Amino acid sequence: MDTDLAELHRDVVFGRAGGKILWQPRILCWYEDRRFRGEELPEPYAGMDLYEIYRSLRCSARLYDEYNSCFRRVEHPAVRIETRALSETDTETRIRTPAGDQTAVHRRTSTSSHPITLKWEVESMAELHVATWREENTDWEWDRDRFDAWRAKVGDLGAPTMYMPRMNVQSLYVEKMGVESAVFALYEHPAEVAAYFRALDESHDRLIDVINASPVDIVNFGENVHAGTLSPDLFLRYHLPACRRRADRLHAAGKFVSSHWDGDVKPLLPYAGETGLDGIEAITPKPQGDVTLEEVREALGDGMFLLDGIPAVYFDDTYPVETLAACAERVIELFAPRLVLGISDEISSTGDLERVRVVGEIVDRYNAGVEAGP
Amino acid sequence: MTREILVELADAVAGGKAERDSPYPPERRGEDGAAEICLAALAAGVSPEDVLRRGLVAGMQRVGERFARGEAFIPEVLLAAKAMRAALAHLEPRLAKEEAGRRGTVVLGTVAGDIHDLGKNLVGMVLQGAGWRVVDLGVDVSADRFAQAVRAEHPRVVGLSALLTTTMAHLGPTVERLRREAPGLPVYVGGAPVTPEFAERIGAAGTFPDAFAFARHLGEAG
Repeated sequence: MDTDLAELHRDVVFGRAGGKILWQPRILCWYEDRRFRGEELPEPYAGMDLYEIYRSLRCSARLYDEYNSCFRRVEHPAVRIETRALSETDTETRIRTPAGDQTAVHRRTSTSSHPITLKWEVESMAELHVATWREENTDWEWDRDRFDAWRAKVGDLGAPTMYMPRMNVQSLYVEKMGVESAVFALYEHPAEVAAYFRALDESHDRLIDVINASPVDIVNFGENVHAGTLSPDLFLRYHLPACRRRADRLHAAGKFVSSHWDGDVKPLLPYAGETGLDGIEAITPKPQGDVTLEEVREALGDGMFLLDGIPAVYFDDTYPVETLAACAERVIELFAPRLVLGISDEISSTGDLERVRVVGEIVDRYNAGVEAGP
Repeated sequence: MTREILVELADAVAGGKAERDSPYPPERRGEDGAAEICLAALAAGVSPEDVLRRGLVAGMQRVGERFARGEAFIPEVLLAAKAMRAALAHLEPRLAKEEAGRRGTVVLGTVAGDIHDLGKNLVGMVLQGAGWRVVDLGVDVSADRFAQAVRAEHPRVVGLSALLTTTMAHLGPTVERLRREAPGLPVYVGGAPVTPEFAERIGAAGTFPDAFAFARHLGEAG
């Protein structure tokens, strides 16, 4: 590969790329779905691993899972996590702590690699109290050996990048309770919820100390923000203050900070400039999302980056390839050089990987033009 | 009297006040919620149909209007639906005897391979609040299971949900399976990646941007 994609990645986000942009599509879902179904990859990718496919596509990879594994959550030594099979498909996880127990039940299905949650980890105030205790007693560790191993394996594909665990409301929605129970907890038990949020903030502060001492300079808040569930009321009350505070602490160590907003975002876009973020990832324009590219450009202003920007549906054959190309060119026109071009938020397993090459060629032409000068 | 108590019930539903003991909303702490007001209305001789339509449905419609204007979001809808369900628990036994208040049955489910349920649940709550009987098949539902439910429940409408572009691929075959099972039965599809063009292409009866728009459409369609 003739371009050092890791260096270009760092240079783009830290404003040292002389106007060039980066093409960094996420293809994990396309790859993993096939592996789950036991399918052979189509030619010319047969036999390749994920990273070989990226290299074949001549594009950068956003290496979250890889470098995330270098930050280890360490629970209180008294915490015991036990699992047992309830049936052929159902598994119960019991988390025993000095503050009480939590249980979760998941069902494996033949159609998806993601299990169905039958019982969330937190479904009562007693379980929320346990979750609070666990966060109060959680620490974080950095694994240098693992970092070096990943850098040796995939360091050519992108700069070291990680995403933090979700903040307050999104933690309850996505990780702990599910949206419905979490909404009732938020509005009916605000004091207990506030105690959990405080503990979570403090736990994440300890993680930020570890991140700030590490060589990982590109940090994402893996929030999966969706305005439908994270309403402006909840966003302003809980999410925005925590986001600003985290971003400020990471900026103090010179990190590039973005957040993942992959649902409807129109009601929240006016607050983008108040988040303290350097960029927002995965905002999905129409026809898949609820905003136009022009609305996103206006909200991000001249200071913030867009990461991604091309709706995933344009990689499916339901849309002509010309539509995809026109969209990619419009995203570049509106957002370069503050742009890490990608797919909002991943190519699906029904997508055509050859279309990744089409966008790659557009980006190569754009960067060549930047290099050649006016 | 009837009018006042039904307005009060609609207010409780729209404001998410489920029961007297409910801590939400804090400014109505200690006041009767939808459950108590529903019981009071029935005790005062208001017909179950009026309680449903002029109380619960009216309250949910008010939330729907705020939702359409961008003034309410899913949390407010869930809180209102909780209040609606608290009242409906008292109303259900009466409605079973007086089916006049019901619009018919809707079968809902998230298609095979997809485990997302929030959108489908919201549709269920809103349709329940609009006077429909809802049979929710859950998530990761195969085309065959939908067909079985159609045979067993005799719905007037079926709603299929898919959140992912990957699982959206299951919508077409499921619609096709249901067309064979029950020709003429309207099958609607919904989910973030679903567009009207896609719905038309796979032979679905339509798609709507949110649960309230779907409920309005079904109401207008009679």
